[in-house]
Amino acid sequence: MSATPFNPSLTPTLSPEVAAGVNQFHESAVAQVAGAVHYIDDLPEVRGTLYAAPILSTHAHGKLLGVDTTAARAMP
Amino acid sequence: MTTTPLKFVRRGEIVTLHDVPPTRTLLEVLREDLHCTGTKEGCNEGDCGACTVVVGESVNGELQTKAVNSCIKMAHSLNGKALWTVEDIGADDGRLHPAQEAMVQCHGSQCGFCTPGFVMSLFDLYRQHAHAGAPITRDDALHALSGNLCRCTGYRPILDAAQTMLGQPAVDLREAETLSKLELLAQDGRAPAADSSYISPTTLPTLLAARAQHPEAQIVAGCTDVGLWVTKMHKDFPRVLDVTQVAELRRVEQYPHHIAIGAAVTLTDAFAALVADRPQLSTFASRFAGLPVRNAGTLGGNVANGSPIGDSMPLLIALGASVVLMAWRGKGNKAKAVHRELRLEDLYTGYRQNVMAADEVLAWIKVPKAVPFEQSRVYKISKRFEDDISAVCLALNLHIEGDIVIHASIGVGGVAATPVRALKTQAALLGKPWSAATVKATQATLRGEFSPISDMRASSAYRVEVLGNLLQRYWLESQGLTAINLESYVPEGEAA
Repeated sequence: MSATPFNPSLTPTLSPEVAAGVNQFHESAVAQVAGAVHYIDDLPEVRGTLYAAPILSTHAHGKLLGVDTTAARAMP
Repeated sequence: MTTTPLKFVRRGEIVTLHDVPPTRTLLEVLREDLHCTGTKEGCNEGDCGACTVVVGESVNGELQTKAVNSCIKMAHSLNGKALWTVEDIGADDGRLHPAQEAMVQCHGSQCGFCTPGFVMSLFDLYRQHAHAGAPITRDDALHALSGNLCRCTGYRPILDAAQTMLGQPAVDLREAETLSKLELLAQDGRAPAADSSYISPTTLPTLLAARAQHPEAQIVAGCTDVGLWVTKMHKDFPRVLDVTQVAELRRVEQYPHHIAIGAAVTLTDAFAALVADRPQLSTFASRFAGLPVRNAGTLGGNVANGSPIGDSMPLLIALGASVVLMAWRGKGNKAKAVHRELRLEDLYTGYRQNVMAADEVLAWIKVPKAVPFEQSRVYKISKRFEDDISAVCLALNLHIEGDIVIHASIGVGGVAATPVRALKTQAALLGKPWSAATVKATQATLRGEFSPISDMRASSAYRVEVLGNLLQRYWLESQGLTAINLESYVPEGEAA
């Protein structure tokens, strides 16, 4: 999907005499109104995709002595 | 249990999908099964409108369309209907639909995420007005976009697009082909398997029989609340019973003294009937949720759910409405439909609890028509003007004859575990002269009658205070001061 054509002669100089008062359409507008823009959530999910969620420490300052993953591994 | 194939019309062709679970939403089917990701998931609860699609059906040979939220719509409810998404409305040669083109021309998008939903609301607005040959006013645009939220572009350019799109070159949407395919689907076996996981009866006796056979099934209508139990509370229902295709319950019937509204009538159509009888309810009707929710949700669903902040019940209680519950009872040949009728406020026993038996279905809502001496008003307090849920809702229906209150009927929402009738306040008004002194004394009674909770919508103290203030507003309106209402306010420079 291509963006709305605009007059390329206007862009290199961006002189206020020609840029001011001339409609410049949003470069993605045509794709946006057609539902053709791909956001992150629109990307196809790869088969076997794993999900992760951060678990934050309950201690502001301490030494990590070990990680018990038993409960996580027991999940389906 | 079996899964009935789901069939609908899209882009002039019949789409058939197999093994769609009963609680799978239309948005999930679009995005995850059909890989059509143009329709977006924003809030997933019918508030933001990013997922708006347009659904059509054949009514007396004419194509009737409406914009709805796909995120909380069960996919199976689309069976036998036509669907348009933002990806379906451009011309075959790549030209944009007028609604899309106007959005480009008017700079109606920025991040673009809400845009597909806005486009589809505009698409339906365009269709309705192009068919009727009627221009689109700013009010028409506000009404049509009441269920769409934008957080970066701003609404002004989108409203500009709405008001100029009729001037864009039309695009052929093959409506005749769509209609003929809908006719094909209608003839294509209207008797789904009795053991289906999504049962959608088309007659009242079959609905009641299905309810008697499957008391465990989750009843749904427009799914504008049950849909959230699925998307937000992750509930799963093995079997769903959909009442919206029951022909008898899709009717609004006019009687000499009351209006009977079937449980499958949408909020849009139900409010149209109520407003025709009482024009003063017009603003309240347009403030009930947003258009896509009113187009899908039903009055029966709002009432049966019994949410304490459901907006229709305070009004219906004040108007003296009753509900008709129906069931299929008896053995063999002697089985028949039975019914009972009760006052709406007697339906509820606690927070989202009611007196309905496992085999009963809420079939009709009966609303008395307006009478002489009646002064009925309903006030909604919410943070947004439309597309919002009430903190407090107060409906007053007084009959005042010769300056004496001869009838007082008051419904309140947002102040208790159920929608309630303000019995003490009614008693305090009945037989009294309608005067400033009476109102002042009754404000205290009304403020003292309930002990509302504090929550994210409002504090308890605010709710108590505002109840009395609304009674004051009602008094002032009764004295001719109609300009005190928000809808009477016209911003500078926007005079009609």
